[in-house]
Amino acid sequence: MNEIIFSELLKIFLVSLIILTTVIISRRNLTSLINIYALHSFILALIALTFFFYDGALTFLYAAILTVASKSILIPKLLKKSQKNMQIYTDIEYRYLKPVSSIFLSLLIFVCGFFIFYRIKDFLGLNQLYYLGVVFGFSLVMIGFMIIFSRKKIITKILGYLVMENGVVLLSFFVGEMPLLIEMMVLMDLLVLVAITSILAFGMKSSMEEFHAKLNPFKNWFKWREIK
Amino acid sequence: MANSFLFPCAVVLLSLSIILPLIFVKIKKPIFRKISLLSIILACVVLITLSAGVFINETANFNIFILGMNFSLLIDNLAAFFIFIISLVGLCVAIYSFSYTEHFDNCIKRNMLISIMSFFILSMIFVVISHNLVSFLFFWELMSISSFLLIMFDYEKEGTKKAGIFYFAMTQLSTLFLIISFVIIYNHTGTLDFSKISELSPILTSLLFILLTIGFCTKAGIIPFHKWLPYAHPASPSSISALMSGLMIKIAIYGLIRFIFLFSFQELWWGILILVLGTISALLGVIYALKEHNLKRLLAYHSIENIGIIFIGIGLYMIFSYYNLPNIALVALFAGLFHTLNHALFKSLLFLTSGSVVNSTHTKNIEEMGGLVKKMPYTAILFLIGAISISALPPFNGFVSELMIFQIFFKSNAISSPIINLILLISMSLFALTSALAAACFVKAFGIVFLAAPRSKEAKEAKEADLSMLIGPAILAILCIILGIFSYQIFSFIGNKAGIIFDLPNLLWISLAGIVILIITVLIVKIISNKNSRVGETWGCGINKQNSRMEYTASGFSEPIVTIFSTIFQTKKVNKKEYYDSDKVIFKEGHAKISLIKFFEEYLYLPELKLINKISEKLYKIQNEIELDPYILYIFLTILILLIIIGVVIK
Amino acid sequence: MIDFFLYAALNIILVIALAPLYISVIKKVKAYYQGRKGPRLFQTYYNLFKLFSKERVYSTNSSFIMRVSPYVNIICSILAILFIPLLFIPNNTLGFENIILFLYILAIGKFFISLSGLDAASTFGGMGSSREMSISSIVEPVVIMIFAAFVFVFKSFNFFDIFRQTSLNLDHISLWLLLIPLVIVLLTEVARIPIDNPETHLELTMIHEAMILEQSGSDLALIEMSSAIKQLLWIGIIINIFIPFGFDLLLSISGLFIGFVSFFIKSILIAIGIGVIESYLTKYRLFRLPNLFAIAFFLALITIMMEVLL
Repeated sequence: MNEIIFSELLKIFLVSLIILTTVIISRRNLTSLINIYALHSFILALIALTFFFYDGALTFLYAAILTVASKSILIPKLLKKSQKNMQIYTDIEYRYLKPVSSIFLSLLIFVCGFFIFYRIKDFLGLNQLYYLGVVFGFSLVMIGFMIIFSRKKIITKILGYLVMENGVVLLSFFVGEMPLLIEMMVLMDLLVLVAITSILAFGMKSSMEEFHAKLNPFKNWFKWREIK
Repeated sequence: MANSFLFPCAVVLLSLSIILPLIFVKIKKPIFRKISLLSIILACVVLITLSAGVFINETANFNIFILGMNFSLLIDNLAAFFIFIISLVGLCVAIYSFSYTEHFDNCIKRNMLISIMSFFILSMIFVVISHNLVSFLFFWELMSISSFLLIMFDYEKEGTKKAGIFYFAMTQLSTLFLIISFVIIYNHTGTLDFSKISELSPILTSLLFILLTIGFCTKAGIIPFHKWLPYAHPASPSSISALMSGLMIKIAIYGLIRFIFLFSFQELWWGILILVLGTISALLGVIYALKEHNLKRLLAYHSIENIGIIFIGIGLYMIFSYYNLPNIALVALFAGLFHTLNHALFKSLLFLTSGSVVNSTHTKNIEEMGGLVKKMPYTAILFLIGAISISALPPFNGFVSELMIFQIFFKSNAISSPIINLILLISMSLFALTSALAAACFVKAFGIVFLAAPRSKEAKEAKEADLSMLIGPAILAILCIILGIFSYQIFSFIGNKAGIIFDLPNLLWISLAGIVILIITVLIVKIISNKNSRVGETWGCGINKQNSRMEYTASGFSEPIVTIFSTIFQTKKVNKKEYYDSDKVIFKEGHAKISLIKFFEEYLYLPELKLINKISEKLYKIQNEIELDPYILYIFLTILILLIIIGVVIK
Repeated sequence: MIDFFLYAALNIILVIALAPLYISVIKKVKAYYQGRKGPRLFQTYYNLFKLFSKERVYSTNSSFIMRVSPYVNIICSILAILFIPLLFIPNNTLGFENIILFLYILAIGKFFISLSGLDAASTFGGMGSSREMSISSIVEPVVIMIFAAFVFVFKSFNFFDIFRQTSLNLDHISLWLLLIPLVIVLLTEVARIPIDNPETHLELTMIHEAMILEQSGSDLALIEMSSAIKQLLWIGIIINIFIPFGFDLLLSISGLFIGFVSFFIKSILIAIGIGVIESYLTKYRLFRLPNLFAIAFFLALITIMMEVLL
């Protein structure tokens, strides 16, 4: 693959990643949030594919397939199931940050990341393009953090954590030596998290009624402050 | 040669107009006032010729010795440019004042107004041509004092006293900073002349730069030193507001540019500081203007915005000249200076026409005006020309200076540092936001004041202004149009002389093309469309007689923007309802309020005011005793301390 | 000199003749999504002719602004046509060059129409004016940022040079990221969903339509024509920067014909795309529009930073 096409494609994908993240931080409709997260992970897989076509290393191909299978298909399905059970559709309330302020704050974070990594660019041994990737990964992590503390419903907080993990994986593509290993560790982390959420949400199939009765009071944890 | 003759001529004419009303101060007949106004007009014409002469030929140099102090005066290109601005605006204000002064009740007041006004103009001219620390300070003080007297003109009204004292305090603050910096300069160079300033050390120059900037910013009305502007402009008579806003604020700009030229080098953070101050003033000025319903206070906030734009131009000049890109830097400087001229023209135009409006309707609140376009059509057209110029719409002059600044911003990738690039990009987007919001604000101002139906009895009975109150602004309006349409030709001429390339579009061609298309369109539409038209009542949703309560109000017009920028205004909406019953069905009464805080007043000015009050109360107690004993105690203590000090110091 | 006049005449005739067609295309696409057949493709032309033959009614409260502003608006739109080459690029531009001048000429029209909204002393007119001026102020930084990106990348101030460069090479693929802010700006300037609904009849949901409620007859026809022209101009900008195939750089009959056909096909495709966007989205609440513009601004700023600072 051509050098120019590689860098241009990578730039397009990185910018779309960060824009999707800012969309996550300001949208309210939960279904669309989960869909955007699926798109987010898909673009991450596309980045891995681009690395595969340019470098030829097989690890990137496996990482891409793993990401698509787990983060674009499996996890959103689980999240949608639990969301449908809980019957919450929107996440209206914001805490500490209004949507427009959060977008400008994410811009500020990006700019700060840009200049901080400018100085240690040579220490890390990055060329221009990889330095961009590191900045975007870092901003993704910080914006994920912002999503966690500024939204109130748990599902959105989980999505913020998932976005953070995506940012870590992105960083690993550009800086780390074994992206596949990191990808798999992160994946196990997330799978456990989402599994626990789903179990708490709708219990095991066997004794549905018992679990329902037992977990009924815990339902309020997920509908945090929706009923005032 | 002719220059040295013209200047004393103008000074003599202006002094005549100062002295003449003072002598005949008790006479009611307007003949002496008219003579003095005529002499102001003549003096201004002479000064315009003088400045044109200086541009073409050479500079003029004078030295005056009075009371043993050497006032050295020099008219070079920069000074001639500012003299040109001062005399243009002074000319039109003088024409306007022919009938405006007759509206004051007291004949003493009328005479004094003209006398102090000419004194003000004279002092501003002398500030601009000073070439000496002493003369600069002396005439600066004269300018401040005469403007203070002019603001306190309607001293019987209650808001005026607060405005006047606030203004006086702020202007003395600026003079204080100037005096401190001048003392430092004198200590380190040993002379009072401007020429030795370039030999100072870098640290000292930075310190001087900060002090001078604070001093000039206070006078120019940059945020956060701007608070006196919105009080002073509504309180003073309209012709004086035009002079102050159009000219006096620019003298601060002149001071800043003069001292920047005198320093021999520049640091980067100076340019960035001026750019940031300019951007913040521009944005906050226009945002605060959007919520104002006092016509003159609205125009005062727009002055703050335009001074911010001039500062942006000067800041760009400093940044680009630090990076050794003199072509782009000079274009930035010319953009800032051209915006100075433009702002003087259209702001005076707006203030003079709003003076006519306020005179006819006897109110400054725009929520009580309306429908004036039918009663005062010429004033309406002049105000419209001013509004189009200030909103930076082509082909008038406001557009040209903003276009030049945009082009400089677009060339910013010639600078290699990414941080500076980023700052310039963000500053550019805030500047774009400012000019768009200014257009929105003037749609509101022109629309609510002149269009639609009258909202009060006075607005229904308003009469057109007198002839001289139309001719003065008309000259300014014609100049606005000419400077806009012929901008390409003017700047090609200047560019040829100075060796700079301005990349301006040829607005003359475009206006001509527009007129041709207009004629063709009107012809086509007349041929293919129905010729009839009739006049009917506006649809009022079924109510038979439409009254003025149904049209949109000014607060309603600005409400979307006030809500969008609610973090800046700290908008608080309070909505309380009381019901007769517990089920909240039968409504009793309600209370709704939208309140905006005055951010700078509450958080910046008032705490310092309270602190100063506390300190002065304590000091007051020391000195206010009527008895004799405390003073003798103070003298005794002083002598004791002096003895101890002498005893310790002498070996 | 002569090729500029030829270019001017061709451009103006092309745009004025084609502009109402796109409004009908978008209406047909929306109708198709709603399961209807929709109006005929030439319906907008018939509407305009009908409006020209009606008489004009002016309010008792209105002034010269009401009579003058439709003409100012249409002249500004026609002048703006001369800035955007659609079929071929002439060598001599005769002063119609500057990007910022293009933007501000459109702003004059908006200024006068907003004034005429306030002129008739009706409540809805004032509401439309206030909302329109607020929204167009907020979208201004986004537009300037997009134009700054164009100027930085293509190193020129006028659309003629920019189109000449894009039609020669496709080096800057990452400029495709600017498509999203440009589409958002297009939707704002022509008042389409999700910013404003052009087919609503509820006054409280109108932004642009409310300002022109009081206009009638040939005035209303001129204003509708002017919106159609603006829409075609922004579509033209999108086409010429992102998919510039078939552009004619040398003046020849066959070249002009190919240019016309390719322009027509591309612009119809973009109009269909606008119709699809309008059918899939709903109109946003007025105070949620700053979110949308902030995201567009963020995108444009990051694109510039990446393009220029590397």
